[in-house]
Amino acid sequence: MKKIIILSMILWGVALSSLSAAKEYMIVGARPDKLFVIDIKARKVEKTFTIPDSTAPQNIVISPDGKIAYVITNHLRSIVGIDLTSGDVVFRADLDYKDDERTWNYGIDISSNGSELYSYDIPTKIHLDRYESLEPRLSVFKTDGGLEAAPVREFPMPRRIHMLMTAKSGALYAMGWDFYKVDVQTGDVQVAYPLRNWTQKNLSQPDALAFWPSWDNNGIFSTPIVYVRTDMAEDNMERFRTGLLSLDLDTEKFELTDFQSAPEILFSSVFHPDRKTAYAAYNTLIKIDLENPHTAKRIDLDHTYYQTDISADGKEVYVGGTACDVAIYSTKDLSRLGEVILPDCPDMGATVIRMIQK
Amino acid sequence: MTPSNISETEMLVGNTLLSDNCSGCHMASDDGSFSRISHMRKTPEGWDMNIARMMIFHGLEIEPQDRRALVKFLSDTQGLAPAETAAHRDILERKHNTIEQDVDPDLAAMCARCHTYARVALQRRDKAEWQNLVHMHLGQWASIEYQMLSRERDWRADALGPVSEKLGQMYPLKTAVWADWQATEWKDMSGEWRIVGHYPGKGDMEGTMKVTSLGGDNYQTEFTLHFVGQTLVGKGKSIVHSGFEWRGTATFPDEKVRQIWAASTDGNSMTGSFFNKDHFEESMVITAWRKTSENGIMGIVPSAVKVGVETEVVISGVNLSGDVTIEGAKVTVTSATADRIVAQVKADGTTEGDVKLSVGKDVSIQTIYAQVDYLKVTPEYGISRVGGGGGPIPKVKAQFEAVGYSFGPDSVAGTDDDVRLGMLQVTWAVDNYSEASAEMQDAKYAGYITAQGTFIPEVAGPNPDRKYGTNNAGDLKVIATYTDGARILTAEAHLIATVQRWNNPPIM
Ligand code: HEC
Ligand code: HEC
Repeated sequence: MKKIIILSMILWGVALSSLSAAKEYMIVGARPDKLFVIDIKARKVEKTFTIPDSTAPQNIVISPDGKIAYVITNHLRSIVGIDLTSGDVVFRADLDYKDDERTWNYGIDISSNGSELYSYDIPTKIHLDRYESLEPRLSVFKTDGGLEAAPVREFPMPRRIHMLMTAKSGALYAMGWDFYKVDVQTGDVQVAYPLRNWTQKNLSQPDALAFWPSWDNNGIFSTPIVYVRTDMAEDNMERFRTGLLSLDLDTEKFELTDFQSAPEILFSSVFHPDRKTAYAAYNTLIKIDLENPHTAKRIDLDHTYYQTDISADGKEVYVGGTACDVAIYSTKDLSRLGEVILPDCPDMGATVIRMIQK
Repeated sequence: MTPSNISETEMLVGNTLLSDNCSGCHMASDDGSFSRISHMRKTPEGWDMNIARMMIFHGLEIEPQDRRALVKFLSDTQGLAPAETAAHRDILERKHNTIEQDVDPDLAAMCARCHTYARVALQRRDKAEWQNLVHMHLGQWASIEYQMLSRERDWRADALGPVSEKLGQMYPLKTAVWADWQATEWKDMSGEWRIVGHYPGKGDMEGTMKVTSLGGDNYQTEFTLHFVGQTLVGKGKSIVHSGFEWRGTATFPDEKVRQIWAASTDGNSMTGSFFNKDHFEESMVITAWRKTSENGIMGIVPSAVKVGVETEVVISGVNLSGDVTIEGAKVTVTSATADRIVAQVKADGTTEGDVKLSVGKDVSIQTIYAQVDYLKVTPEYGISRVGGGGGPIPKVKAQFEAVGYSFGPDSVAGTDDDVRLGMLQVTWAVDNYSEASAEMQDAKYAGYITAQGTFIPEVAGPNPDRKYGTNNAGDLKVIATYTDGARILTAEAHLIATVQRWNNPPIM
């Protein structure tokens, strides 16, 4: 295990140094129809794009070349591809493309070569006088599908998935009741890491609802996860535990790091690129020591933030979502370094943060 | 079969309304039924919410008078019988601080998280239609399977499977009680009524209501209500759905009120809530009796008198006559009508506790006590909500009341023989409930309590003066202090001063 971690660190180290010449940008959305490109080190919004026919941007996926942002909007019902240089709409899939269906997206990612988008769709058939909830499916779109894109492949999927992520190898992972590995050619779904029926000794079924892609600058998916130690006395508050569940998108290894009891709600987390610390937020921002798992520092935030992210150099941790500001803290001691207020203070709601280099 | 209480013409008019307004989406069959619509029964509020959803979600356009007529027609032909609503009337009657009773725990875990259990239990349909309702939920709320208390289970499979099965068994479309109720003659409500009630924290009411028929189960009402120190006169309109569901509005000098009552099956009494049109938490529970040849005592105010203290007691009822006596007390009647007897009462101390009060051959209970031994604040757990502040949602106040008790013969508090002495005049205060609320200074920011035990919450929205810029919510204790000479008694309740509810549907 240790060996793999070191190996992956080296790999990412190489990737990062090759990028260090590029400039770093943060991409966020806001209600009803805005997409912002932020020069984060300059604390400045560099570009503001308007997404046509949009209500509430949420998830965002960036093409591997960093040129196009695919935004989930319209209350989970549309995927809109925006060219990050010109702001042009280069792709659009309204998921209600089938007659009489209402379809929500609950997870999206892009293939590692940038040619295909994977959308986890939950459809409902709208009859004249009743609704019929259908089984969810994976819809695969070609990224060159144009402005009325329709899926080229569809596969049935388990229910209640809330996040998709593509590993470096091209394998697709889906987090839901369990963590699944999905074959995007055949639709085959295998449990890659059990959660609902997990095999962790003396631990209850965990609860984790992750929506936040925080792997852009560290190559690792992570999320706070809570569970109960069933071997501890009922009146011992220490039995309520918080861990970080992570999937290394390079090695495809899962890890669970138990680091504290459950004194606070945490919505999202991000690993430091050096993988020695991680950060998690909601009403508080905490710094987690991963080498000797414990909470090394905790501060109160000025309001609730959903997503946590980090700069490529590992010096700054970012929190965003819920309001119109991104707050910036030092990864070293969680001291406040600054903030970016979005122009006209639009509501970021549940939009995600993505980090790109260009 | 045409139910005997609904005329051929009414049936024809109702079915024409369904055909005109609904058959574009709900197929009419040769047997006269409409798809979906004919396969369920609901309360008047349930039907009205249903039609509202057709308008909001499905673009139905319907004239207000047609909507009202359809609610009436559907409630009369596909309503719930009195016995079918009995367990869940508190919610239907919009009583504040209701802790639901008669709740099936499995169903509650699945279905009483976003709305009350009553919303479910006040509908009747078979399994296939419960399943259709589950499909509507799944297709309307993207997050339903992901929310806390859903996501650890396969919510969809459970809801479409065992939950729909159970709902179909517990709350089926066809029941004997509904068939019997349809076959029972539904009574005309016009006439003279006697009415008594209690406003928590404020005191008792007794009065009269005159009901005049306007035809088609519509009535005009005239109220004369006596409160301590004032008499209020009001006028209004009411309608009766399903033969017993009395719904009314009335205008009094200072406020508009609503009534949601249920009539007894013989049509001679009604009970329910009488509340401010905009503040359903300002509500009193009433009982109304028709002034028939029957007679009886409806209320005694105050319900308890202290030994040795001459007290004015008002006995309210219908057709009261004869001698007034109270065991262990001297009674001097100062005025008497068939509705209302006023007497000076002085208990001599030979008896204590609940004793017999009689007016002629009618009997009731008067309580006699030597001292208040302890008090309780009701509700033990109250809820208020921030509001106003220029926003669209008014504040929801919380009303508390202090009730006195004596220990009873065993001289021990909290045992079965304790005697309830009714509402007491106390002084009110609020304080922080816990260490956490003390740190947030909730008592300072959340609101204040009036001399009558009404907690008035603060305005909605973030408060920049508070830690984290949080809103004016708070976790408080409400403290009542009763002074009896040198003795000081206190009691507490828990108050959650919370945020607004963004929608306040007729059935929460
Ligand atoms: C524009 C189409 C449309 C019209 C017009 C319409 N409905 Fe519906 N109705 C629907 C759809 C779609 C559903 C299923 C989804 C739902 O329950 O909201 C439905 C469901 C229902 C249900 C089942 C609700 C439940 O509790 O499961 C009832 C009852 C109903 N409608 C009554 C009516 C009545 C009464 C009218 C006329 C006043 C009406 N509808 C007009 C489309 C319509
Ligand atoms: C995620 C929250 C949520 C859960 C869980 C939920 N409901 Fe509802 N339900 C709603 C909302 C919101 C409405 C109001 C719909 C409308 O606007 O008419 C509703 C409406 C209803 C109605 C009234 C529909 C009508 O037109 O008369 C019934 C009955 C009902 N729900 C039953 C259930 C049952 C049974 C379950 C469990 C299987 C359940 N609900 C679980 C949110 C929920």
